[in-house]
Order: sequence, then C-alpha cells, then structure tokens
Amino acid sequence: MGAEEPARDRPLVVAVGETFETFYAREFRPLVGLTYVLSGSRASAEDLAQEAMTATYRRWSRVSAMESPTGYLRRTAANLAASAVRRRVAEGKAVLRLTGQRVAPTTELPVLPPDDDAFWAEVRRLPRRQAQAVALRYLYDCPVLEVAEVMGISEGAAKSHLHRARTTLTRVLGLPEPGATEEAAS
Amino acid sequence: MSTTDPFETRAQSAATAVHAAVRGVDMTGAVLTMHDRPTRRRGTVVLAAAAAVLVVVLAAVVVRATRDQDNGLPAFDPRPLTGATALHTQLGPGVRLDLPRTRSVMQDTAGILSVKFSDKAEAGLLAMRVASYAQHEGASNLAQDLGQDSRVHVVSASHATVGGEPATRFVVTPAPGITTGPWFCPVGGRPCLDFNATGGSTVYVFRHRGEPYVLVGGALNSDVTAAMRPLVDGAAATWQW
Repeated sequence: MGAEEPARDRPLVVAVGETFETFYAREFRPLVGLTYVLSGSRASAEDLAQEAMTATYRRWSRVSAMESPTGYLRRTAANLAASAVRRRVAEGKAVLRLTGQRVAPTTELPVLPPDDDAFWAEVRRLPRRQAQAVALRYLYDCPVLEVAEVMGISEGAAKSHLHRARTTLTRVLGLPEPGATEEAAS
Repeated sequence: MSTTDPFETRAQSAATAVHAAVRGVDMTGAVLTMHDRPTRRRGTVVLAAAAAVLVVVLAAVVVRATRDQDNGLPAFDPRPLTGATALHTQLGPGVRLDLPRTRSVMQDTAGILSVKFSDKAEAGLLAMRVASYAQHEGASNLAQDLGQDSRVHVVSASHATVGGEPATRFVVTPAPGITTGPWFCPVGGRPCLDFNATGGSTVYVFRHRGEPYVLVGGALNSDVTAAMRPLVDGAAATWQW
C-alpha cells in the first residue's frame, strides 16, 4: 500500500505549518556554526547566516511547503559561504597582482580550541563540495542520505565526497587509520 | 580491543566545539522580527478580535437555535471535495481518503499520516491514531478532552460520521495568548502535534475498533483556515478503512 512515497520523520509542527519566527529561533545558531566552519570568519559567519535567513524569508511561503525547509536553508548558507570564500580569494589575488603584496590574513581571534580550529581550517582547504559534505555530516550529525539531499546530489556522490575528504584530512592532520590504532594497541 | 575511529573522534570534537562557540551568538534578527509584528498588526488584531467576538455570539445563537434535542449537538454532513483523488495510506488499519493533487505526503506510518499542500504553504492535514491528549494519560474521550481544554476556543461542535463511525466535528481556534503546547499525541512515540498548528482548525474525533482517531486540518492564518475547511471535510467524507 502507499500510493505516494512517505518522507522520513519530521517534527509534526513543520508538517502543519511553522512560523518563520519559530524556524529562525531554532535554526539561526546552528546555521552560524555551518557558515563559520565553511568561511573561517566569525564576523562573516553571522552575516552569511543572516543573508541565508533573509533569502529564505523572502521565499517562505514556498520554502515552508517544502519537505525540508531546513535543508533549503543549509544549502543556501553553504553556497553563500562558498561564494564568500571565492570572493575573498579573488580579492587577494587581485591585490597581489596590483600591488605585489599579499593580503594579510584576517586578524580575528580564533573562537575554537587550537585542535578544533586546525581541523576546520583543513576542511576549508578541501574542494568546496567535500568541505560542505564534511561540515553537514559532522556539524549536524546528518546521515549520508541527508547530506546528499541538502547538497542536491546523489547518495553515491555524497559518499564519494566524504570518503575523499576523510582520506585527505586523515593524512594532513596526521591521524592514524582506525586499524592502525588497534594494531598498535595489540 | 578498541574500536574508536580517530577521525570520527576528532571530527565530533571539532563539531562540539563549534556548537559551544555559537551558543552566545546574538539573535537580534529574531527579536526584531518578533517585536515588530504586534506593532505592525495591532489594528488588524483589534479588528480581528472584534470580528471574532461577533462570530462567537452569532455561532452561539446559531448553535442554540439548531440544537439536537438528543444531546445538544447539531448534525454535520461532510461533503467530498471536487477534483480530489484517492490517497491510500499506511495509517492503521489501512485508510483511504480523497485529497487534492497538490498534496505532498510528509509522514505515512501506521500511527500517523501528515500531508502538506503546495498551494497552501502555512497549512497541513493530519490523521492520527491517538495515544494521548496533551501528554495526559490515555485518550478515552477525545471529544470531552478537546471540549474542556481551556487552551482552545470551540467555535462549533457537531455530530458527523467518518468512515462509518460516529464522530464529533469541531472548529476550534486557540484561546487568547496561547501560542504553543502539546495537543494530540500519536501512537508510536513521535512528537505530539504542536499547538502552533491551531491558527484555526477543523477537527474530527472518532473511534474505530476501540482505538481513538483524529483528523485535523490546521493553518496559521484565517484565510488559509477557511480554505482548508472543505478539504478536511472532504477527507472526512471519503475516509474508508
């Protein structure tokens, strides 16, 4: 039975309509986390999260009818963060070309402990889609299928991005492979 | 033997640190939005309140005039909605009802069916096997629970039939100042239907094989609430086990 494909569990409140205010209150802070890890700047992160929220608010009548308004918001924010990073890199190159001087890195104080800061810094050095997949997977504890839905790609592609990202990060962070730990212990 | 994955551990630690770091993020945007609304809509709210009082008075007059002598409730005959098509659901014990083609099924299990409509963004329809009312024990008399719930204002109540079972049809709005809270709680341990859904709702409560059921169509504003009403009645009229 079941003429239509049932969606996975969602909070019922979303199913029968949710005000934007409630949605904002629930999603804003976690969203800043996403834009922070993808942009590397706390100040930009809040602006980017606000921008994503504003874009969602403008389309709220349509977005709130979607199966996953949260997925739409996160995808918007992840894309905005990627654009911001691209813009920053392009600006840096332009300054280098015109003046011969490198743009000084941002002087914001890190908001995370050094190890965690280093982890996300390496995530940002990954190709854009890999970085987004890692951020969604670990920041929101999303299953691979949900990562794929938010990014608008197939589950296989999401798995591939995550696998490549994990291989790179394990290497650059100098982490032991899971099997290696057990062998060393034994 | 250890089964810890160093990468997973490191990633989870990094994620936890981010969540802790954003805990103090200012929510100015939300505060502004929420404060702005009452000011902007004060006139509308006063007008709506006056209209609501008038409607309640009129409804009381109508209800009194049309009372059934048996038990005080008028009868209501739900009508199928034109153009709606059949939806076969998982809702136990196998429910079929007719809904518009603009539907999008959000949840469909033995305990709950949740549907949205693309042309009615801030609205939805739920059919549920009820485990409890507002997280209180049991659901032996849903009509009584709903009728006595001080959080809702019952605009009307009438006798109806859903799937051949005697039902009570309510039209309810939230009581002044009520914005949220658990309402009907489904079988299966999922979250209860939140009171936010009750900008205005049409509610059918009934029993089948000893189990309590509810069919609710709700919306966040009065225009959509009105548009939802024939849809909910259509679902009630075409409900089959």
